[in-house]
Amino acid sequence: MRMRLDLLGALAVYCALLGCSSAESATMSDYDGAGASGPGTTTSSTTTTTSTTTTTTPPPPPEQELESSFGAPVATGNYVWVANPDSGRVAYIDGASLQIQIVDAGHRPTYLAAVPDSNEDVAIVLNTASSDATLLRAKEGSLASLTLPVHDTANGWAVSPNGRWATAWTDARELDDADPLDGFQDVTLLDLVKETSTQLSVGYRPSALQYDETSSRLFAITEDGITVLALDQSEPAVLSHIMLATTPQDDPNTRDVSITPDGALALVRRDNQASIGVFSLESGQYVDVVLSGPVTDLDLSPSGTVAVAVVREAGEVALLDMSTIFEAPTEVTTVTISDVTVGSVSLPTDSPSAFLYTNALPISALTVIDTSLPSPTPRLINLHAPVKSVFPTAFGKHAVVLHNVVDSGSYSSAMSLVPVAAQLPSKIQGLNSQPTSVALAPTGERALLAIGGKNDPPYQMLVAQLPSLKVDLHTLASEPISAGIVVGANSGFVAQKHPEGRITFVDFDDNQIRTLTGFELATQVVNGSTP
Amino acid sequence: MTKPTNTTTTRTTRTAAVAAVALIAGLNAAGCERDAVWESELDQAIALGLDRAAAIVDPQAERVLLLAPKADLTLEQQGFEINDGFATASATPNGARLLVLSHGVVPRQRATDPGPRLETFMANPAPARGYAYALADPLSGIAVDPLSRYAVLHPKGETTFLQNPNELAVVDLTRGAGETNPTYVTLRSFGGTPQSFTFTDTLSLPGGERRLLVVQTDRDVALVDFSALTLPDITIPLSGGSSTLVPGGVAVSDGSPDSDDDARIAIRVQGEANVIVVDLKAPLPDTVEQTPQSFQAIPNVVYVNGVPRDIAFVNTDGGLRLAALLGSTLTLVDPATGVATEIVLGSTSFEHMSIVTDVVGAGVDGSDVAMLWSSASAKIGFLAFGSTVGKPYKSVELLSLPSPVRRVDDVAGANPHLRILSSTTSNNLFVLDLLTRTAAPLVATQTDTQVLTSRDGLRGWLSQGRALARLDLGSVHPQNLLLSRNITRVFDLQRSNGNPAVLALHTHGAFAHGATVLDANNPTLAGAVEYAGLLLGELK
Repeated sequence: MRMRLDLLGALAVYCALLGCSSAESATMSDYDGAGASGPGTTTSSTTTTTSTTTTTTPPPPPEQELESSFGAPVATGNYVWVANPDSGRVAYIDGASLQIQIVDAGHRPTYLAAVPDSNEDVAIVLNTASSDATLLRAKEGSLASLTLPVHDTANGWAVSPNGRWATAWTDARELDDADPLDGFQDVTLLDLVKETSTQLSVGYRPSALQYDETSSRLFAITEDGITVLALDQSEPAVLSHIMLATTPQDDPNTRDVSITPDGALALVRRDNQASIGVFSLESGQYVDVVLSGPVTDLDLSPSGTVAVAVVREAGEVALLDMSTIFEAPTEVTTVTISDVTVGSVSLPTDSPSAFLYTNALPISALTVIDTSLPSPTPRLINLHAPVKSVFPTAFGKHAVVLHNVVDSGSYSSAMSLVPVAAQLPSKIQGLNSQPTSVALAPTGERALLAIGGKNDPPYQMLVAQLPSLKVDLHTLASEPISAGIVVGANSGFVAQKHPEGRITFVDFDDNQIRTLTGFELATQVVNGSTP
Repeated sequence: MTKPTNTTTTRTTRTAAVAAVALIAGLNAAGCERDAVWESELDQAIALGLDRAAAIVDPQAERVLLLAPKADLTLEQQGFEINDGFATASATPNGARLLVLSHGVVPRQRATDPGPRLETFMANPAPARGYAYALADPLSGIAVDPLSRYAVLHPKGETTFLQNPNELAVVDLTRGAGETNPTYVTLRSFGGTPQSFTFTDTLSLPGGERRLLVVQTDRDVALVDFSALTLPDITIPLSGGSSTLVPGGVAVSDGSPDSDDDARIAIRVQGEANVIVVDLKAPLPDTVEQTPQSFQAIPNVVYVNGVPRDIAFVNTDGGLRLAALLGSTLTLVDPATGVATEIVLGSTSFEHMSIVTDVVGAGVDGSDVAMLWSSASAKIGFLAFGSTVGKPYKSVELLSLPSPVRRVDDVAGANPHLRILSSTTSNNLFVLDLLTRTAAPLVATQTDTQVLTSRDGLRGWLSQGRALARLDLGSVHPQNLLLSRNITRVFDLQRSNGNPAVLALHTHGAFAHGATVLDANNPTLAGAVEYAGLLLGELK
């Protein structure tokens, strides 16, 4: 499943490099037999399904999901928040002035999340040693905090769109050697308005929590299925549970679940399955949408109006109208991509465009379709290196494309800035180490990449300006952790590993770079000021 | 007045000294009515050089003797009583003032008991008392401003029942005593006590140009604004975690001349590979009303790839950098981004780094030049910081010497491009010319040669035992003399007619403090004037 965390409009995305490396470690021989469009080359018209597999080469590896959200540090409108588990403190840095302030949290504050709020900068942190959470509200130089209890083992947050609810949960995938009998089924719902804490139970080992757009329902996607929690009653309560397994052999680890923003439907893609399950979250009933081959990727548009399913083997892209799909599961608009292989899709937050590509094969092309059209015409954009992942800007006018580099003597990686709205050439930039994190300003005018990882120097920050496609590379002092955008300050940051804390800011107004190291040291300066 | 009497038999007393003098002069001191000071020891006398006179501070006799050469090389000897309870003495670097710090009578039991005081004396145009500053409490240490304007008096050891080791008295030596002179500054303390003091040059800071006093304690660093001494100091702790870090030196940069928001102080931390760079910037708008000072200190930790032996701010082709000398490598750190570039300097390991750009001139891109040296390597290095940023290797122009360098003495006045190098393992000395990058060797027959350069930079004086040599710093021509007595200290002084004289102070021995005065331009024994028993002259 693909989750997006909208940090006040900023899209901060993390590229799991280790996953990339293993997935992309296929040697060139893996790609032998692939033509320009790869194995299983299809021939088709643009709107009808006519593809046929014509070769006997082994199927390419599965598509890799690389655009997962990165949570810490987190940015709110004006601040970047960084937790220090060792000191029990949270530093919050003004993204404009870069002034650092420190606030005490509980014991071992570790997991931070931004809480949407139109008036204040609000963050919440899980204190893992004291089994509680500290809510931090910053406004005009002052900070208020509130502590509420949570269950043991919590290591993740799900925050409602309206900022009222913060739910602590346990992601078993983040725990080493978790016992099979540990279900991690507790969730703690914090009502940030009433300042209450409610502990409930969901299905076995949740993998994601998602609210509906009105923040009246919370859906816990678990190995058992989807547990529905009601938030619009006097007390939070478990409302129902939807079983997703349609056969005894259904492996929950091969499921990819998306929930519509209105909370009405859940889409379930299963690896190597040609059908997509559409579940009613109200009734629990489901229908199957059967496509022409295994669905290699499925994305739901942020508005929830359309789902885009990619059938790589058939060279098809299926567009599912979410307003009718449950009642009419056969009414699917199919777009055939005839001149290039596609297996993955990325969708912008505020555009009907869909960006199609594959990272299972060394294909140096990106295909764009407009999902709002009744018969979309694919537009092929040739690039200069195989695609690894694609990050469209919010309005879909540009895309940042990360590349797999296999035949460069000078570079180990590369990225491209791709104009989509305008028919202009893309710009490729060779990189000496792998990007680890990508952040896009919600205005679509800046892209920020953290480059380099463990044992993968040099460490750099790439600042791209759009639409000029100007690229500036800045060396970082230590290994980057994540990149992010501080919307209110019109700045970006790359957090880095350092015992005392390190973060490099770039001011998007003047492109000045400033690195802060030693967050707590900076706050310990005493000048005799009156509080 | 009763003076403390020292009964240690191994030390020379005035009685013994005057007896010896009497043998020579045909006088007999026996039977004279004498004060206890006659039995006091001479070992504690302190000799300091001013511009016009040599000063001998005689703590036991509680007086200062200023010896000012006249045109005919005779000495004008002017004695001044000093306050009770001598603590320490120092001379301002410009030679204009002698500073004598005393405790007074401790503890004060009568209203007439003198209190603690800083007394000043001057020799130009003639020996005279200068301003005196009464102090509230006894203080024992003096830190003197390199620009000779301020003296910072601080506690050093126990003198009273209860003392605040973080209380400083800041004296503006250019003004007389007054309500705000001295100004008492109590450093905010988190358990630390002052260990060393650094006086910055004038810095362009938010709120105007000013100088700062950087106080290194044993756990933090305090900034005191000389232009606003009544404001609280700014305390910069060095440790963000549980460990306590100890400052090990500072470097200061004013930044760009046309900016008041880019001054920085770098703090080296003992045994640590991190240097703390403190930006001095304007307070934020929302904190300016609560901030007493016109600027705020923002510390930032930079990793320099190893424990630095020396640090300095340098101008490079990439802009201002903090240079951390690690031995045979140098790390350049961008203070804004913390990005470090390590530069291999070759096989030679260096310990010390001096920026010599003001002498040799900056590079075409305004970059600095540093002189590198070490007590473990027989090489002097010159490193130009042009074309250094982003370069993994930088050639150092090396000058090989026969032996490593123990000490480097600057030359002021007319020859600022010269340095006098003292060797660690031999009697060799070198006159290093920073412009031609040559080192003229000087071979001495004896070890532990003392070196003094004149304030006008024209002469050097080297002494050991009875031997005195004048070194013409222009031609590197030595002129040797053998005086009749062992030499304790040498002073190059301005005579009353403006011509220079050299005053060789002799070890007290049997003659107490004696002196030989010679023409510094043409020193000959024939024209020399000798004095004996200098400390006896005004005793009664």
